[in-house]
Formats: sequence, C-alpha cells, structure tokens
Amino acid sequence: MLRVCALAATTFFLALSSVTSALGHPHMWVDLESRVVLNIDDGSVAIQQVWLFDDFFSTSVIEDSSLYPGGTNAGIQNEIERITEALKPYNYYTEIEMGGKKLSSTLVGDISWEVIDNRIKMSFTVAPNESSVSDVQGWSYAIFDPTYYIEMLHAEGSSITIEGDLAQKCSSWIEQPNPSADAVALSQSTILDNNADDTVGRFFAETVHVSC
Amino acid sequence: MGAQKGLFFGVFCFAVLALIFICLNTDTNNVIARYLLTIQSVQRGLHANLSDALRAIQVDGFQALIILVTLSFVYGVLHAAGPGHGKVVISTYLLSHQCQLRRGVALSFAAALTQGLTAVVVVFSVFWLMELSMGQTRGVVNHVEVLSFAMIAVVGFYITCMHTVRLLRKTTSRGRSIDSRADGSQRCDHHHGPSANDLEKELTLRGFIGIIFSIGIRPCSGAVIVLLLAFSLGHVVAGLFAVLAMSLGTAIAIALLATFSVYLRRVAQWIVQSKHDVGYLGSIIPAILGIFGGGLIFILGSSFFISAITAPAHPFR
Repeated sequence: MLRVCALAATTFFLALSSVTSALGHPHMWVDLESRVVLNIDDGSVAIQQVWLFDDFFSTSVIEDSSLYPGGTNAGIQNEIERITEALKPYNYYTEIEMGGKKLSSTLVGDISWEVIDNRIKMSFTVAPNESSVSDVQGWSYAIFDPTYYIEMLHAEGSSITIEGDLAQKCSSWIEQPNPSADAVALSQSTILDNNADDTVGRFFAETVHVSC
Repeated sequence: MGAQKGLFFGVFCFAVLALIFICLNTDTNNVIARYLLTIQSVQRGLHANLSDALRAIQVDGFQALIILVTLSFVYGVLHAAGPGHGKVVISTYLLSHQCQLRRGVALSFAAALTQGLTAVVVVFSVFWLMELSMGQTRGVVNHVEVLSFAMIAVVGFYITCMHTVRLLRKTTSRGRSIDSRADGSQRCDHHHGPSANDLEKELTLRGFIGIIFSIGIRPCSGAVIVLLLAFSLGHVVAGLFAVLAMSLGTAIAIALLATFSVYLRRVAQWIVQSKHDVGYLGSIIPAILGIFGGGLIFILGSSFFISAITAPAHPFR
C-alpha cells in the first residue's frame, strides 16, 4: 500500500517535471504597491509604484554600496539610478494595455528610495505614451519581469487606489495570475525557442483592471 | 508475486493514462499551473521567513537556528517539487539502467548533497577567499550557473551516445545469432561477451559519478542566497546547517522520484518479459529510453545555455 502511495505521488512529480521543466523560477522577490492617477483636465494617466525589494537583494546592494567612495547612501543612489536606466527599455516592467494595444511608458518625475527593515523601497511614477483617459473606458496594466527572474506581486488582499478627478467614477480590481492551458503549452515550447524565456513572466503576473 | 505484479501493472497503466490525460486535458494543465503557483507563493513566503530567521539568530540564538534549519528543510523539499533538470537526469538514468532501489535512493542523496556542497564551495571561495562583495559573488554564481548548463548539455550528449552504441551493438548481435536470445537471461543489461560486460561495469561507476556531477554542478540557488546572507551577517555555521537541511529536503523529494523510476522500470520489464521475444525487446528498450532521456537532457542543457548567453543583460543581475 505504501508503495502504491509512493507511486501515485511520484507519478505526479514525474508528470509535473515533464510538463514544466522549461519554466524558470524566481531568484528575487519584489512586493508591489501601485496607485492610479487619472486626471480629466489634461487627460493624463499615471501609475505610481512602490517596489519593496527582498532582504537578500537589499542586503547585497547595501553591502556593496558601503564600499562606494561617496558612502553607503551615495552607493545605493547610484545603484538605483543604474537599475532605472536599465529598466527603461523594458518600460519599467510595466505593461499597459489600452484598447487592445500595448503602450510603452515613460518615467514621470523623480525616483525616491529609503531603507526599511533592511529592505530597499523604491518609489516612482510611470505614464503611458500616446494615451489619454478619454480614449478608453476599460484598461489594464501589469507589473512584471518578463524573464521571471524576479517575482513581483501586490501584497495579498491589497487593493489599488485611484486618485485624481476621476477617482469617484472609476474602479479597479486585481486579476490573479491564472496561466491558461495555452500559456502552459507555450511555456513548454520554450525548450525549442531561445528567446521565449521572455514570455514566462507574464503568466505569473497579476493584471490590474481599471474601468471608468 | 502474481498479485504484486498485477498491482504494479495497474499502477503503470494508471501512470501512462495520467500522463496522456495531463498532456491532452486543458483543465489539468490549469491544475498544474495552479500547483506551480502555490509552490511559488509558499517559496516566496519561505524566503522572507529564512532571512528573518537568519537575522533573529543574533537575538534569539539557538531557537532561531532551529527555525532556520526547519524552514530550510521545507524549502528543500518544495524546491525539488518544482521543475528542474536534476529530476530528468535521475529518472532517465534509472529508467534506462537496471538498478537496485537502494542505489537509486543513494544516488538521489549523493546528487542533492553535492548540489549543496557546490553552493558552499562556490560561495566560500568567492566570498571569503577572493574577498569579493555579496553583489560580486552573486555575479560569479550566475556565471557558474551558465557553465553548469553547458555541462548538463555535455552529459546529455554523452548519455545519448552511450545508449546509441549500446543499441547498435544489440541490434547487430541479434542478426548474428539466435542463441543470444535463448541463453535464458532476462536481465535488461545483459551483454554478449565478457568484454562488453566489463565495459558496462566501468560505465556504471562512471555513469554514477556523471549523474552526481551533472546535477551537483549547478549550485542550488536557494542555498546560495541563504549562504550569502548568513556569511555577510557572520553566521557561518548557521548558514552551513541551513544548506545541509535544504539538501536533505531536496534529497528526500528526489529519492521519491527515484523510487518511482525504479518501480516503473520493473513493471515495464515485466510486461516486456511476458511477451515471446524476451531478450531482444528487453535489451533494446532501456537503450531507447536512454537515447530519448539523454536527448531531453541535452536539449534542456543547451537551450538553457543558449538562452543564458544570448539573453540581453538583466537589469538586476
């Protein structure tokens, strides 16, 4: 009987590893907070984000920064600038979808950071290019690392606040990641496709829907 | 014995049906995705708890160490329950070679402990001996990982070649004499001629070392992060205990898979033996399994390697 149980359990493992061996797994974790600002006057849309890095990553950045000539704070500032510069081609890991179109985004204003309980907290705002509130009634965004090296999620049970003129008229909800059968099939095909690694992260990402 | 064989046969059929079902059915694909997400989210929580436990050692001492070791063990089990190349390597080897259950389990433990040891050696030598910072060490570890992908591909290629040679030898010897099938032996690793037998013995030892090497060369990523933080906080011993517990957890999960592979092979062997053409089919099936498994390992290793070296620099690496 014990053998049968062991067999049943391992069947599952074997099946699982055969189906999912191509999937990566995260090496870094970021706790997200995000806020949407919608203004009717100038039709602007912006997403304020707070990234709280995990202890391991933060410690390594803080430790490396202590060797920086200008001191730890200057070192962290330098690293934050390097990271945000490197994130630019990736739209700051923010995928904004309006009217079925994926929009690129730009940084608005400054980036600030602080260290809380050994963890680095980085705050900044991004805005989609070529869009305005009047364009769309329902739109969505997702914040994720396409390669899934970093897992980025909002705290469990958190909600997205909406600010600006349209705050009262709009609502939002977070769609939990739910990799469909197609997604699993596609991630299986990453074995054959060298650059398909960039698709894995989306399957494990939350989607924030905003409707007005 | 008959009842036991019947039971094995039943479970084997169930396993095959389950695999087909999983591959074809979209709902089960969703179940797998959900299972993965659950593992992922537990792992996320564990990582946070691990760093908290490490920091708590300064204050709570031994109590925090116990928590750290327990968490590491759970992390190890969970880590092995997810996808990984080690499981493909081990199950391929055990499916294509006649192997006692005890040896399969020993192989799993050796491989998992080597993986932990690799993490310790890499982090120790880079962080302490070369006196690089934590961030620089992470960079070196990333390079080691890329190198390990290449090694995995080499091992896969080697396994495929070995089994191709084995298959060719079997198919050619079949044509020469019918005696070879009628000699009464039903073992899958049966050989024709003493020289081949000697060769196989040597290969088994070499194969064992190869398996342990190919799995062990890739340092467990969880172990690396915990070690780095432990070293940087000055809790070296606690870090080593955590890695040991993590490796044991992984070993137990892999041993479970090894057990399954050994039994699955026995069932397959029993089914083949109940047919008339005993020796021949029985001797080529393991080789064919080996070729496929080796090929799979090669594809996994080389695709990871290629994507690692062709991918644009990651903003956080």
